[in-house]
Amino acid sequence: MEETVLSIQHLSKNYGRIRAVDDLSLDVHKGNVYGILGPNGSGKTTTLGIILSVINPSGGEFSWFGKIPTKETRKHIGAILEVPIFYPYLSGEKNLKIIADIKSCSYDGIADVLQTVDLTERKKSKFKTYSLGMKQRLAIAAALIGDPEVLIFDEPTNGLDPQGIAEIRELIIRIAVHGKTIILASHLLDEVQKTCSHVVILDKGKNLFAGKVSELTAAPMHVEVGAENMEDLEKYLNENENVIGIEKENMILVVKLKEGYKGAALNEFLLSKGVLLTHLGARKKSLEKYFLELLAEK
Amino acid sequence: MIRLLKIEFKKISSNRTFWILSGLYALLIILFFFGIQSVIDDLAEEANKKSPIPLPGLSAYSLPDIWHNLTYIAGYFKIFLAVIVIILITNEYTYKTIRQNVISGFSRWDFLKSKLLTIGVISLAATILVFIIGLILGLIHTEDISAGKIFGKSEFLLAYFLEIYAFLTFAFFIGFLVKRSGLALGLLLLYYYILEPVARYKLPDEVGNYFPKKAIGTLIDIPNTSIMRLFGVEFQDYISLIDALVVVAYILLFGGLSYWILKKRDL
Repeated sequence: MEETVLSIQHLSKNYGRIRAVDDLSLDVHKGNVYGILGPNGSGKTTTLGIILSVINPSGGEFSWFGKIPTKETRKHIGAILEVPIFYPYLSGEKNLKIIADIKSCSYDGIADVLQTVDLTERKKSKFKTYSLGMKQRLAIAAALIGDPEVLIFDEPTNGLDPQGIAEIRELIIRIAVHGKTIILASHLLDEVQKTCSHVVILDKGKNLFAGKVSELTAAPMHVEVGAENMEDLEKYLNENENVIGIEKENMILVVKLKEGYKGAALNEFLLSKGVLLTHLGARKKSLEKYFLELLAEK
Repeated sequence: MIRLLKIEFKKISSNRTFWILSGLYALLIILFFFGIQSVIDDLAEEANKKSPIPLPGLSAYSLPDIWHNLTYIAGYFKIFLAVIVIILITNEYTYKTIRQNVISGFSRWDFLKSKLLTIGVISLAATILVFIIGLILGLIHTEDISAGKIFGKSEFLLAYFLEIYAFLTFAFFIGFLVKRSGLALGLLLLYYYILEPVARYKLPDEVGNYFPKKAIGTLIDIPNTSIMRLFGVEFQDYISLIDALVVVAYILLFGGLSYWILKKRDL
């Protein structure tokens, strides 16, 4: 049995009449990388704010490491919420020292984390002189102080250029390799698909899906087909009872097949009808597709 | 406690605004007291020249009365310190660092405690400043110096500390409540110079005397001068325990209210 790091039960948060978090329950297990996915305003940051004790929940409860959350449990969590927050007039290094002091841990690890995020050279510069990418990296360094068991990153690549995004992503993957539990909130599906093992999909504060990324993107099978005579192709596809759905996409058709029915069988069937395929390809569904489907289903 | 103060000190160590304002405050106080000394000296000299009989030296700066005179006058400058405190607390909201402090492992009480301790240190520093100035001026202006003279009426220094601490807690509370420095300062001045005086004007003294500004401000009452005695006005030339308790009650009230807000508030 996997060890539960965070357990959320029936959490809710109301802002006036708006329910930002709505009866949310969730378990986070040790060593996994969780992506919390949802459109803007779906309650991601509010949820993270509650489990970090900076936002008071309207109802429900949560526990860290099987304990009632206190400042001591928070010392085992490294987190950034929304934007990097530091004292602008202090140097990067001094800012990290304050965090080490608050966490009651020594300054020994500061040089290491600065190295990890490649900020050693600029450690004496004031935070306000940093570029956005450097600020994000310093925030990750801050989260790493004290070697916490859990890391929480909220939109860590927000506002970065493609190179910056790639750097941060690589950094997170590198941290994940060391067996840390990571919770990553993002509205970028691609980001979650590339970095996370598990995904939680939120919408309007509700939990729509929680499970492995691979589970979500594996089944059912989608096949791309194309032929000289597209009309015939579509006609015969409609006759085949193993075809669940057909979607037109530019010059090809994307066909959803029943479980167990493979592309080869489809090709054979079409050939027997006299349709010669010019294109046949298997398609793994992207997280984005699934995400949109889930949102549409409600 | 030491840990919290060390963290606070790191926060303000490179805060230029804080150090400039603190330096200005110290400079202002020092210049003022040493400045009015020469004014008084000139007046005394002038009076002596004109007087047919030698006048006794003016007692404003002689020990131990100087403690009363100095702490009373220094009380007028405390608004300057309030600006510093308001900036210290509203910065934490502007930069959102209060939120990150809690995320990193502060309890809300830790945060409040660290700020109230800082206010204590500021009040202590202000008291020490007055003590040093008083000691220098007192030693210069007092004949037959004895330990009894130096430390007599030193309860005024304790009262001064209490006055400053209470007033800064009040300023802190306003800054904490509204989160923005300009607004907080505006509200503090509005309350201090308009709202409370107007309210007190309408109310009987038995009630009005317990309002924050009045209670905190009259802990050290106006020093009696010979002219006032001539008119038969007599002010309180000691620190009353009841007055001190009222001021302590205000410290607890504003500290408590801040904690209550902090507990309920989303950061």
